[in-house]
Amino acid sequence: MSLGAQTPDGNWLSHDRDTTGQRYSPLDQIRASNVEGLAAAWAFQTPRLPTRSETTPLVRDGILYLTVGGEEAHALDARTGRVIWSFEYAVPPAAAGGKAMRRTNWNRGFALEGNRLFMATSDCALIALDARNGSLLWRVRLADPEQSYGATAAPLVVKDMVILGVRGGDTGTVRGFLDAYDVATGKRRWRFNTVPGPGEKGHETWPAGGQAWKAGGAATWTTGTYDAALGLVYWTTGNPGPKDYDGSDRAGDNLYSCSVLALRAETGELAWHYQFTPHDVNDWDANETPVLLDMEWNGRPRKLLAQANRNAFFYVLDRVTGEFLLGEPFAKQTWAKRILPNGRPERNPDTAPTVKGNYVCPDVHGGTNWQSPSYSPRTGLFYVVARDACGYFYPTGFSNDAERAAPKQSVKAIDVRTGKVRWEYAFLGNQELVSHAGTMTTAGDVTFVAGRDGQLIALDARSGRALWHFNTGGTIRAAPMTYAVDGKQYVSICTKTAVFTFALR
Amino acid sequence: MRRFVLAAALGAVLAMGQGRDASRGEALYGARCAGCHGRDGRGGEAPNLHKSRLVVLSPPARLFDVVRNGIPGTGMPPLAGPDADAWDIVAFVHSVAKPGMGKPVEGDVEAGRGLFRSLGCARCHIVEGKGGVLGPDLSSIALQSSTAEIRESVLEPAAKVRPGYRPVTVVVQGKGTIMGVLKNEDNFSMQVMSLGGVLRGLTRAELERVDLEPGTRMPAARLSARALQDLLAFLDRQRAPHLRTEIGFANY
Repeated sequence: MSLGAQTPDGNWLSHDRDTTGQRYSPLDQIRASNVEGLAAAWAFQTPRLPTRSETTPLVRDGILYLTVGGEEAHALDARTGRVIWSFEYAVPPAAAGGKAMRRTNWNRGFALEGNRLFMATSDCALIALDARNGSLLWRVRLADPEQSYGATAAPLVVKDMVILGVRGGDTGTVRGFLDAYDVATGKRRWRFNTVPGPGEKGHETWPAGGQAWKAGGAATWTTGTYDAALGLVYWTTGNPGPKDYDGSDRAGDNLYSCSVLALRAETGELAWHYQFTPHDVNDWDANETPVLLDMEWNGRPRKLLAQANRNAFFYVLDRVTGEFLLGEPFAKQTWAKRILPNGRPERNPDTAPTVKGNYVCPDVHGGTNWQSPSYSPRTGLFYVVARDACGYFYPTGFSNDAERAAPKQSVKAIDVRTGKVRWEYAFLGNQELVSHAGTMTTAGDVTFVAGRDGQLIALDARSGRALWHFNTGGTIRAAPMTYAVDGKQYVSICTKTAVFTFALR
Repeated sequence: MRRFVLAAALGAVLAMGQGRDASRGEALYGARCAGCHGRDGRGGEAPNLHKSRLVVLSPPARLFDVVRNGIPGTGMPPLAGPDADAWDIVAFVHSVAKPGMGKPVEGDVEAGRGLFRSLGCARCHIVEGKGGVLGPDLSSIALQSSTAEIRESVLEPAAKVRPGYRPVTVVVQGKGTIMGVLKNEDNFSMQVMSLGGVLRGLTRAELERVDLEPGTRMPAARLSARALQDLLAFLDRQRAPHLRTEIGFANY
């Protein structure tokens, strides 16, 4: 059985469809040869507007499950978009004295197991809803929002657990962690602190006797992946703290920031880790999806993990051992000469932030960011929304300089075997606004992607040629998904105000 | 220092609107609000306050803000006068239109919990995170309905059926008969939950027959006065704060 094959073709059961992170669907009714016949099937306008809409709906057996920010959710008839139930999360009342609670009202979607849906809420809690009527089954608080913790990712179901991490790594107060909860009761099974404490392995990468580790960041604010055969959960971490751009009080590699962690699903113990950017001072979180894929590598089949990192390098690791196999730049970068065979980057001299401003590529937004990439086992290509841009870095922050070099954004198709960009589809118009719309690829050899400007675009997955587009008329910060009901394939995308769904006429 | 702390605490209490006077609010409401919202708050020119999200769900400070400052671009004007007037109006509106503001219903809550199980209520209703899904979730019923409304639903469930729970039987071409409740419908489709709790989206084109039945799938309870009181006392304790299904979007 191939990776992710347990998901029936027409369903989309997890943030990236299955636990591989490939965001690849075996559906092929909509193909490169007929995608120009795609037409609107239905739209659903969300009653209230979240701060941002970054959500991917799930679909199982004809019912679509949608989160809208961290306070609202709906179940829709996936063929018609008609509402079956709606859920509104009652945010706990303001603290005494009337001060409003700190809320993080954006969200990337549900996880699903049996009749239970799981979502992160705006007050840093994880809740379980009954998928049949939207009833709240249980709620657990991950951490205190007043300490700048938040939860926005789609959780991941692993066996009888639901796994979710936290955001807040830029605030100077957060020490990251990853939690696993029992799906039935909400009882916590394990927690992995992504910044090791005194006495723990990895703590030696922080200044001895210092306090920086207590606010060491390494937040876990996106969705990880899972290999059931290996029993390993893969999760990525963000930048170190307490200060993003000033590393003077945190000399050392600052583990496990800017890393991918392989954790044993049963216990949460660390099996191995790989750090993409040791001692990051550019806010280059490594929270991009760790995509699991199997392919022949130098003559033998291997279980791989691929990631297009915010630091502008594309990485391939052996996901059994964590062995570094490949690291090639896929976007403009000036910070490293190369990635050494031992997996450590060879930094260029004088790339650290300076008081006058040090001009470094990529800019703070990175070669890519959290927006979902996709991988097609049919083409062997990895599809990522990339950014070629440079900016000034100071110990206190960053600034971009569009006059010196206008930022470029594009979809890049990376050949996993070589790390080379096979084709590129450029977004035109002003690209200063950062695109956070992701990609999705199908067995019909179509890569769907959205532009920051609101266009949903179908590309030929083999050539990058644009085959179809639809102007949704508003910002898109989400990734497309696809499903089938009664033999008909649909493609959905969430915009800030609505869900648009398309099918062949 | 101590005096400062006391003053600050007093300020916080005042800011939260403590010490509000609902009876004074009633007089103010009659003079300033009833013309549009109706004497009983059930609407007229302006929205029905008993169905207002702001009244039923939001913390008092939100309602105070709207009473005090109005809603720009609508017919809702700001209230001239001291803040205390607005707080008193909030107190009055909540006393009549927000369920769960009165005294707790008397009765044996534990006996009521036992009845809820033994009568089979839990087969179709969720409370405390457990139960069936064919009927409405009752986890926060005491914050959504008045005791009188809950009593009516127990004794005469067909009197008022919530949207989304009407009994329906459909015959689907080539797929047989589905009995259940109607979650939603329009000119082209129906959304049904089967008696087994499975959700189905159906297009009218594939429906051979639709029987929308009157009433409800819920049987009327026949209870002694004592048992009814205990059951109502139990239901009155169902005030889960984080649940807000089915308010506002039922026919979306």
